[in-house]
Amino acid sequence: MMRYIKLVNFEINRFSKIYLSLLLITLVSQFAGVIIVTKSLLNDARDIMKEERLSEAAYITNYGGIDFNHIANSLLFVGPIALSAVALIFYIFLIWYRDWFGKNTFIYRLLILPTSRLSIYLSKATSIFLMVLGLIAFQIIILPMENALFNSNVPEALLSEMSISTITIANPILSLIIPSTFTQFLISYGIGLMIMSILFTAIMFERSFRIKGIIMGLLYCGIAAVLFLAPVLMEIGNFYFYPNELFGMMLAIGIILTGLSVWLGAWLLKNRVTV
Amino acid sequence: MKRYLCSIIIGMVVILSIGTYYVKVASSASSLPKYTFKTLEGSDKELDPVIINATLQNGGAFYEPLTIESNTTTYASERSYLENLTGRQDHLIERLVKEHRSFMRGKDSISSLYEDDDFLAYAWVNSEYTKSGNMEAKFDIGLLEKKDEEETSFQIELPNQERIMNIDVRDVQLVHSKIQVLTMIDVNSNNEKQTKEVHLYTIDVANKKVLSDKTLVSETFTDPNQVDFEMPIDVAPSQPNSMVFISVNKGVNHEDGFKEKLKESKLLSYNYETEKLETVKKGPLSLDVARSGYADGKNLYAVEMKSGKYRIKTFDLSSQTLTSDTELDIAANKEEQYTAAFKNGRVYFLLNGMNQEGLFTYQPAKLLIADIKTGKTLYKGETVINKKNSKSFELYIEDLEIK
Amino acid sequence: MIEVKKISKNYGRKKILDDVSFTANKGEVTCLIGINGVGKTTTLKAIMGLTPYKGEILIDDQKMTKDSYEKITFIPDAPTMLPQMTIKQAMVFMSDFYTSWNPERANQLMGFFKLKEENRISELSKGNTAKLNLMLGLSLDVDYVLMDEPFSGIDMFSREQIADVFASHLIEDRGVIITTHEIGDIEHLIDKVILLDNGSVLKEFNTEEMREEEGKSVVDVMREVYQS
Repeated sequence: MMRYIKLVNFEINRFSKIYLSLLLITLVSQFAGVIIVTKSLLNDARDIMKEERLSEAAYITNYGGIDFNHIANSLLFVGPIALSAVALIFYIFLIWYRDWFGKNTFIYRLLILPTSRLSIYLSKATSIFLMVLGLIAFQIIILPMENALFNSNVPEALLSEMSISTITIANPILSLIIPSTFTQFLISYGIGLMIMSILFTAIMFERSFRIKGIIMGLLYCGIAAVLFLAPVLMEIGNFYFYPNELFGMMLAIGIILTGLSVWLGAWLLKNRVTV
Repeated sequence: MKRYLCSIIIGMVVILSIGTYYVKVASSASSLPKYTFKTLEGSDKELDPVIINATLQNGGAFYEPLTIESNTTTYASERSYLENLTGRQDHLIERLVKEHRSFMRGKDSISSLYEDDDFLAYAWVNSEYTKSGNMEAKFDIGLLEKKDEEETSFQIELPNQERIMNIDVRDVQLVHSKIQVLTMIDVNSNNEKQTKEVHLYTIDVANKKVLSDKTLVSETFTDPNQVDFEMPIDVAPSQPNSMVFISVNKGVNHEDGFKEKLKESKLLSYNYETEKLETVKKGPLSLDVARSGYADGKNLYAVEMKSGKYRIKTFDLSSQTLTSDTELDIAANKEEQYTAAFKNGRVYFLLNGMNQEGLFTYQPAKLLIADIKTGKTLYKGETVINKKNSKSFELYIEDLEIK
Repeated sequence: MIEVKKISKNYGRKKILDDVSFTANKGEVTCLIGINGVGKTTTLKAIMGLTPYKGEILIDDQKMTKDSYEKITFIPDAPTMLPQMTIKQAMVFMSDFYTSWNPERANQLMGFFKLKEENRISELSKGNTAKLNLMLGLSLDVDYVLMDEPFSGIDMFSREQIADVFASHLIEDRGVIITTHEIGDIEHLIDKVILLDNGSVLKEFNTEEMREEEGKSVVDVMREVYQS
């Protein structure tokens, strides 16, 4: 157990420089977004008011107030989120391959540590998952600050204030990364964990059987996807499930798939992987 | 310890930030205003079967669905994930699912269902469009004999489907063991002419055959002319019903807008038993009444506003005569919209505090429950909020359902 | 005792190991000799559980488990620590994960090899990298040490230093398996030789017995075997 925690810590420290840069990019870009986009929104509003000779009140009735949604939809705001997402998805692969193909073959050291291969597998999964959650937590922390900055920058007459939960519901990307209820949060990130475990297992296939393993890995991903979506696919075939049945089945299949993937991945790492 | 700093910080931030966020989300639902009806008159027991579906809004920046059931407000966010997953469901379908779970699979359109003491019938048109743009359609037919839960389900080709562009099931009846499916159809056309039809299909369940395809109404027109078929709101869509009304409204589309000017209209009645289609003669049951009325299989109810009061007129469907005409004890206001429901021999009348344009007046919603025949007020009340500073919230009422 | 029993391994259709069997005892230096690509490294990896194989390998009569890595260690010919680490960090890492890490021995070896804690691994010369590998492996209180080509591509002085370690008390009671294709520097240290070719054992002999009974050195036997 201690070694597992040490490994998680070790993996996090290894990624910390890139991770910190991601946080910094997000912070700078989003705050810059708030300031720049607010300014241009206000300029646009003033131009329209001048052109159409509208009072602030008339502007509001015609065009609606200025709300945070405009900011949340801007590239400066969404861009760093997308960048972080891409970086971490990429890191799902990199976290394994860098040990094999890095300048030094660290995988030798990793696999001859007096710890179970399952711990090694889980430590990599845990560290990625923790870093994903860390980014989400960071967004949750800076979002109210950005909202406050926005609210203070827009004159009250033009402002249409939004609460944090409304902002996250209204924006498609924010609602994806910060689900509106805790249950939905567990489900979304549960699915995320499942997908990661399936990808890890596909990587283990490749590391064990090389070219043949790529095919096996792809096949495994395909089978997993079909299995997970089987209840939905059955509905196309005109068999109908009640929503709670559908949910129950997908939950069960999801848990089984995740368990199976972790077991299979760790088994391959223990018995089939070649260094 | 210093080596673990990074991980410890990430772990702490994750737990604190995400934890706090969701604790706040959970508690914010309970901080939302709770709406209840304050009884002004009558017994609040009358509120028990009343379900009001609404949304709480705040200038477009906030949107939260809620239900006031038996005088208790529940927000969607207070419900469990599974309850929200199933969604808001008609209580009739809810009951049928409870009683006949296997039969009711995939059947969620209330107007496609028919229920009497012995049978539960279902008819739906399953249609899809091929790449060439043609429609391929099949009837989904289901019949359940309640006594021994014997289920018959099958699909049959929709007759003459090549000439149909769009089909909508409006009523399903079981008459002499045959399923009757009343549909409204848009006919395929490759020129400017448009044709709308009302078809009645008779389906023999025992032999799995479409016995007949009867065209009740067929209207062809070209733009800017317009024809619409309308039926009164069915307040008991699954109940046995021997008669339906169809109003045929012909009009002209305005060039600049889409508002149609009524040119000519007629009201038709069809009797499933006698298979007679008749034009309803001008009389107390006028076209306007039927268009905006509510039918429950036996009676047709209409709401009228007359000299500052709302009136409820009741017509007997088979004789098409006025059987009662009562006044409701509630002030009529042109500015306000009403929602009405008819059930249990009562009229449920909700003035929703919203004007015709859907703008809010911040007035409380008023609910009146009265006996249909006598017009006697059984209950009267208006919404109150349990919080003082909830003025900026607007209650948008979507529908009124009676258990 | 490490017992390798009839292990085989294929890469695709190519046979890398074909029924290889031998034993290596504690307190002895066993040398796997053969030209490049005959399966020496693969044999060591198989013992360490770094590659799958057919057959059986026992370490002190037991199969390899995670706890075996406190008893047996592997010193590959490539650096096994992250390039951005300093030697100090690498040592901390080792002491973090291995209960068998012996800091005193590590300090001794650091002094012996003249390595500096603050040096970054990516900046080490090839010879120093080999010394670092050796230092990290030998500082574990393990019973068996497997070394893969510890002398390849290393300057003469470093080779001498490494050879000195073999003669010292740092090795003493341990069982060592070493692979090499150049026997010269360490011939006098080897107790047992296993000659590999094309994935099979050509000859297994005790160097002392060979010298006493047949008067042949290891190189003599190699010449005999490989040139025939």
